[in-house]
Amino acid sequence: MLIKEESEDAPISLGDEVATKDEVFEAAALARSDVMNVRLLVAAKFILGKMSQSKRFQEPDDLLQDAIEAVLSGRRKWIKNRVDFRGLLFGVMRSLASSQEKSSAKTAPDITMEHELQLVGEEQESPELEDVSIDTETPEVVLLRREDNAMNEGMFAILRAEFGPKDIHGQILDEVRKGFVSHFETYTALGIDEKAYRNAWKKLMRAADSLNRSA
Amino acid sequence: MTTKKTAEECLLDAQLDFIMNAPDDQFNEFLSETGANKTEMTRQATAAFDRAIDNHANAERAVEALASLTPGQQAAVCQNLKIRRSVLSALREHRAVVSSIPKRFLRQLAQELGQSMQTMADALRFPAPARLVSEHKADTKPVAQPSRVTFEQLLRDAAMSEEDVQKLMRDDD
Repeated sequence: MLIKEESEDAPISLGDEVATKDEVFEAAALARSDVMNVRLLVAAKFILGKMSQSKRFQEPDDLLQDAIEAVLSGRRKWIKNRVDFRGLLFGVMRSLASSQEKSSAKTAPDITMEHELQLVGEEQESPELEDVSIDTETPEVVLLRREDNAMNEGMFAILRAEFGPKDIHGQILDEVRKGFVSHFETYTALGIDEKAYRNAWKKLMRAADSLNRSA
Repeated sequence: MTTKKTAEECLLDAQLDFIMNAPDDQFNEFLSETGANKTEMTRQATAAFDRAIDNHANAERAVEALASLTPGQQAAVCQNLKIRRSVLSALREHRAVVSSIPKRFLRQLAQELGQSMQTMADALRFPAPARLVSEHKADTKPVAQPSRVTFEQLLRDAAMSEEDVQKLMRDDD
């Protein structure tokens, strides 16, 4: 059985510029001494706040450390033309926490369910593609995932419930829920000015932070 | 297949975008409003970098220790660990899924190389040194890192006896 545990990189495309080891170390040294490296720690805190079953990464600085090690070791490649170094670490932290959450949730080995088996026989015709799609998750995994999603949706709902339907904060959450692209697009879609949006967003960040801490 | 993001994932996207891209004054304002101790957080973040860099350096030394074993040393390690040469070769080429290696065996391997068990595990997660990967492929272009297989599979591929496999897969002391 082949297992791809050690590298979770997306495939490298033509034209991608993969950083050399020296470039990675140089960027890490710069990020280390950057006074704003605190942003990485805050990001780790928010990422962990969302991950209900992240048992390994107990503290945000542990998650940050693991992400840095993954990049330094080459287990996670830095494709320079896609993302800057700090953005890379944000992505790796999120990915590590998500992987950990998935592996915590997966408590039973995958088994083949009877309904997954294609029927054969003289009456059987070649099925249409849309009729043979298979859910490869076991019922237990599906249940765990749904429970997890429900809990996450519940946290979002609690945050949303803190604000009225016409409240600017609630409207921002409703807009973000549709799919976040950028803050610029969000306040443009809502037709509010940037300053009012920024102030409202900071309040939302504080409320979410407080909710994560109490979860 | 693309799955629609949950509301929580969309919110996290927006939060991380703010944390990463907000102008310094806005981000600092947010931090102070949450009562965060920025000095302490900066110290923690810097310490995380330092620990990662230290661990990486240790793991690199362990990679080198494993890669540069002489044939005589390899034979001794194989004898002490009761494994075939091909198993050690696979380990030197980082072809094992590290999480599938029993802790007991990992500890013994680390001891053989004078490393800690954690450092040994970190080292084996590294991509294999290029000189070892290309050893068997001299007539071809350099290739990507070989796929990893479970430790048990390595033992079986080396045609070790069932009894030896069971012993090596034991995780107690």
